[in-house]
Amino acid sequence: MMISNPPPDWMQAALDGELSPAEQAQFERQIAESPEARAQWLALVEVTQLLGAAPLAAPRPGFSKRFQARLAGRRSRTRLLGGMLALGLAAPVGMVILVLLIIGKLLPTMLIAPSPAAWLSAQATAIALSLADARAIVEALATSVFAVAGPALSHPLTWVGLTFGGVIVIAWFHLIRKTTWEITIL
Amino acid sequence: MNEFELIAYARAGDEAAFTRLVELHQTAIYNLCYRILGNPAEAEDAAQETFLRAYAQLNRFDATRSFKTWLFSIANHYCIDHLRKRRLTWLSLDQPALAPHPALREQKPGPEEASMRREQKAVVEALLAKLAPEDRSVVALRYWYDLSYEEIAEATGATVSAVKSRLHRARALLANILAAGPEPLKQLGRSVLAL
Repeated sequence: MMISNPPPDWMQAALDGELSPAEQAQFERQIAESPEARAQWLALVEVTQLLGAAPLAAPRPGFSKRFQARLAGRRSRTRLLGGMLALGLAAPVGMVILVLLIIGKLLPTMLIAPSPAAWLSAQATAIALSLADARAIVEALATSVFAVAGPALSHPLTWVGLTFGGVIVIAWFHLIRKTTWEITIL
Repeated sequence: MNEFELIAYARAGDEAAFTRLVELHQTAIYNLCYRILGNPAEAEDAAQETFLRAYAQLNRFDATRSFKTWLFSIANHYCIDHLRKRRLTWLSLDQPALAPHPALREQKPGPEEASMRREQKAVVEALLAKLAPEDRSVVALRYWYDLSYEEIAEATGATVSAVKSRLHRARALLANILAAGPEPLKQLGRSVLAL
């Protein structure tokens, strides 16, 4: 009688217990009759048992503590990244403003100045005047604020407005922080 | 507190609740990472990254599904990516892709029963190292966690038929290695099973 090997898929199906009783019986007959198929089947069973008997590998003790430390480290890194990002955005904007100021304000005066020394002297005078103006403006503003703040702070709507503004700012920072956090992690 | 409640608390920002979830699943996730990567330090790092990613994406977790399977999915993707990067590094350094495991080279069998356990670990790791990373994760999910084909498909992002095909291929390859490998390895496998 000719011995036929079981179809290759049957061995896998038999391992998973997916053969019907009739198929299982036929499979067992074929395995019993074919030394080649039996060797193949035994090797598969051996592998399955070997893998099934292997225990779970466990991490070193203190895994969750190390997780908490890593989480805290990642958060502070995110904050630093956010700060650097803000600084990185602010620096080019500042540079552009400075360049525009130089081109728009200083260049025209430089072109019409009789000599470099005269131009420098004129600039020094202008800066001194500007500083005096700025100081006068700050003093005027402070006086106005004190004059207005007193009566305004006694009005309940001012406090409602301040609280609302505070909430908006906090919510904005929270949103930015959360978004940056996710971007950093992923 | 059950897992469902812990997830709800963690979603609300309770870090202690998430830490409890980490404690519940750390061994399962570490083991999967270890079986895929084959290195304790890398497995620790991968498991930690898995939980960090889970924490960051917790709001995207579908609570109707298994949390553990979701963690498996994150860990699996991280480990496969990590292995790809590691392979690229190796190739760029022009080093051999993967040195044969000592257990496959070694000719002397472990005579002691205590050392047999250690040897079993080495045999399993050596066998797994012979598989492609995707096949390795399928084998690990099937044998260490007893997941169904559908659950493995969910965790790996593959189809059920692809999972079956990977598992069949992996088992056949491992059987061939075990059958054709050095005699001490075969004996070792049998002795381990006899324990």
